This record gives sequence, C-alpha cells and structure tokens, in this order.
Amino acid sequence: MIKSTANNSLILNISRPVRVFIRRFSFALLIILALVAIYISKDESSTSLAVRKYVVDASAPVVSVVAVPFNFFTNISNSVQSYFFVHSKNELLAKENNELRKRVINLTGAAFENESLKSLLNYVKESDYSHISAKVMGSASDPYSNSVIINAGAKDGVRKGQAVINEYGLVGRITEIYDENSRVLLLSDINSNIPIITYQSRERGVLSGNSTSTPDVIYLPVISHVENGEVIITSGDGSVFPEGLQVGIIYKDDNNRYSASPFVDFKRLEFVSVVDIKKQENE
Amino acid sequence: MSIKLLYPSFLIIIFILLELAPVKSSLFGQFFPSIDLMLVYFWSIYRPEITKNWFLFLAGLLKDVISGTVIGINALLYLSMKGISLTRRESYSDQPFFVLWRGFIIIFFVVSAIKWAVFSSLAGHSLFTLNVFIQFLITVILYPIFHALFSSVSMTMPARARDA
Repeated sequence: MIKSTANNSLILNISRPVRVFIRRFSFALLIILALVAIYISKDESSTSLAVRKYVVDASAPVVSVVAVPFNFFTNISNSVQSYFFVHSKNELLAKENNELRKRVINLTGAAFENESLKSLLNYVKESDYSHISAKVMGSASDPYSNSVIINAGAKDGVRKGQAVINEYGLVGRITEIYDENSRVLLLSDINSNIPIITYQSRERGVLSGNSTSTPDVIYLPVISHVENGEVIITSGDGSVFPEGLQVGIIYKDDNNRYSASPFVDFKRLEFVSVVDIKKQENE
Repeated sequence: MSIKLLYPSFLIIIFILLELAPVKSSLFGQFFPSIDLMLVYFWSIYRPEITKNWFLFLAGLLKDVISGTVIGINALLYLSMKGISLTRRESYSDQPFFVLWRGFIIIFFVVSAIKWAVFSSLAGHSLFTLNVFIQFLITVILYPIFHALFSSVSMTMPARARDA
C-alpha cells in the first residue's frame, strides 16, 4: 500500500513537469503536429483514407439531421422565389421547350442516318454501361476544392475513378470510396483533368478544373479547327472514362485560350449515376 | 462546469458539419462564408480559455476529413487564427465594434494568405482566383451579423469559466 502510494507520487512528480511543458508549449506542438499531418497526408496515404472512411460514414447521417432547420428555411425561400418568378420561368421553359423540339427533330434525322450507316458497315453495337444511382448527400466546395458526397459506396459496387453523370452530362469522377458513401471530385476542381474530344472538329484535349464555373480546355493542337460553341464529350483516352459522355460547350476567349461551360449545374446536384465501366467490360 | 460554456465548441462543430450539408451548396456554393473562422476569432478575443487549443486542433482535423482536403490544413488555420487573435486581444478588448471588425478583416486576411500559400505549395502553382477574393469579401461583409449572433450567445454564458 505504502509502496503503491510512493509509486503514485513519483509518477505525479514526473508527470507534473511534463504537464507544465505540454501546457506551455501546447500551441507550438499542435502547430507542428498540423504541419506534420499536412506533410504526411498530402499524398493520400492509406491511413488518411481509412480515417476519412470512418468519419464520413459516421458524420453523413448527423449532417442530414443538422441541416434540417437550415434546409427548411432554404426551401421556404426557394418556394417564395418560385412563386414570384413563376411567369418569367414559364417563358424561359417555353423557349427551352422550342429549342429542345428543334433538337429532337434534328437528332431523329441524325439517328436514322447513323443506324443506316451502321448497318452498311456491319457495326457491332457496344453493350450499354450499367449505372449505380445515388443521391447527393453533401457538398464540400470552397475556392480550393470542389467535391460532393453521394450515398453509394463500396457496398454498392462503386470503385475509384468511375465517371459520375446526371441527366445533363458529366459531373466528375469518384476519388474516395467509403463503405456507404463516396466522394465525387467535380469537373471544376483544380485536381480534375478529363480527356475530351470536340464533337464536330474531333480535336482532342483535356478539360482541366480551375475552381470556376468554366474549366480550362488545354492540350488542344496548336493549329486546331475548334469552333466556338461546339459540344465536347469524353474521349475515352486512358480507358478511365467511357467515351461519348456529354461534358459541355467549348468557347475561345480573346487571348486564344479555350474554356468550357459544363452542361451540369454543380450548385443544383441532387441525383447522379455512377457509370460502371468494369461491368461493361465483363459483359 | 456549466453546459453553457460548451456553446462555442458546439457552434464550431455545427458549422463544420454544415460544411457538408446541401444547404451550403444551394445558398452560396463555394462562396459560403468562413463562419468557423469567425467563431474562432470571436471566442479568441472574448473568451480564449473556453476554446482550447487541442479542441481547435481536433475540430480542424474533423473539417479536413469532412471536406476532403489534405489533413492538417484547417487545424493549422484555426490555430493560426487563435494565435494571431490572442496577440491583438489586449488592444481589441473594450473597443467599439468597428475596431473588432477591422481586426477581423486584417487577421482573416493573414489566415486566408496562409491558406492560399499552403494550397498553392501543395499544387505546385499559384491557386489565386477571383473566387478566393469573393469568398473573402462575403465573409468580411457578413461578419457583423454573426458577431451580433455570437454576442447574444455570449450573454447567456457565465462571466468566467471558473465561476461556473
């Protein structure tokens, strides 16, 4: 008993200077720890990915609950806005409807021509890609990073690098996979580089995110025949993405630099599909 | 210890979790104001003993993990915000709101510059875009509203941690 008390007081005596040291230098120690963490995790080590996996899976349901009151007020604000702007929106939709009708007529002709040419060439039809549907659970966007979390993960068969699309076109690619969720790196992120091809002039390039709503199009040939307003699609180069996914419209600025306006509105992402390219290969 | 003393920490966690919420995207997109840094500044000036260094470190790590950025960046930013705010605390206490607001603008500018420097060094090139400046402006302009909100929370708390 006496021995145990003596041991305890010895531990306290040793730990007191340690505690004083930690208290005095805790700020500096934590700054150093943060810098070390940046250095270690910048290359996306397996440890940092494992930590993310557990924290994101655990926090996704909590975020849904925390966001309820905020979403309530946002929904009210949206309802009020749509009530007051219903007339102008109606005009806009009518105009869009006319444009779409024209496109359908043109596309029907093109599809017929396409089918005829395919039958002439004995073209073998590629099997369709399979899709994994998911809901956007959250968005983590600031001027330095643009990503969203979706509610499909490893359990649903999602794999790293898969393309993510919605009804308008390409959204981004899967960069991190958790058990029940995954992170999608948006086209606008500075780390996003997607091989593309212009639809009519067939010029290849790379769509490179710059954290704005109009990503850069780089690595186009020096003498290119790209026209303003052309549609760009994924080229399938590198075999990471399937080819032919709609991306956006290409524009040339006054300095002869190309940028693209994506079809997808990243502010209003709700439901997306993960394109399962692997499944297609197996079929 | 009164549970009211946990309000600042609770608010920081809530606003970090909101980082992921779709509401953020629909309201401001990537220009969402840095409410978490406003909180760190406010409590570092008024009650630095409540928001402990280790808590800010862990909260920063949580934000890094949730937002998908390199782990350690937000921990560094929170600690920098507190560290710089503490050096100016004496000159800001009992000053009119305008002085505190100006103080926030200067310190937030320094912290934003640290953020830009870290992200740019990791990317290997300068990442300054107009969006960085717009987010800075939105945060600075909205600070008075959040200052008033945090002040009202502060009123409900015991005067000193040891009084609780």
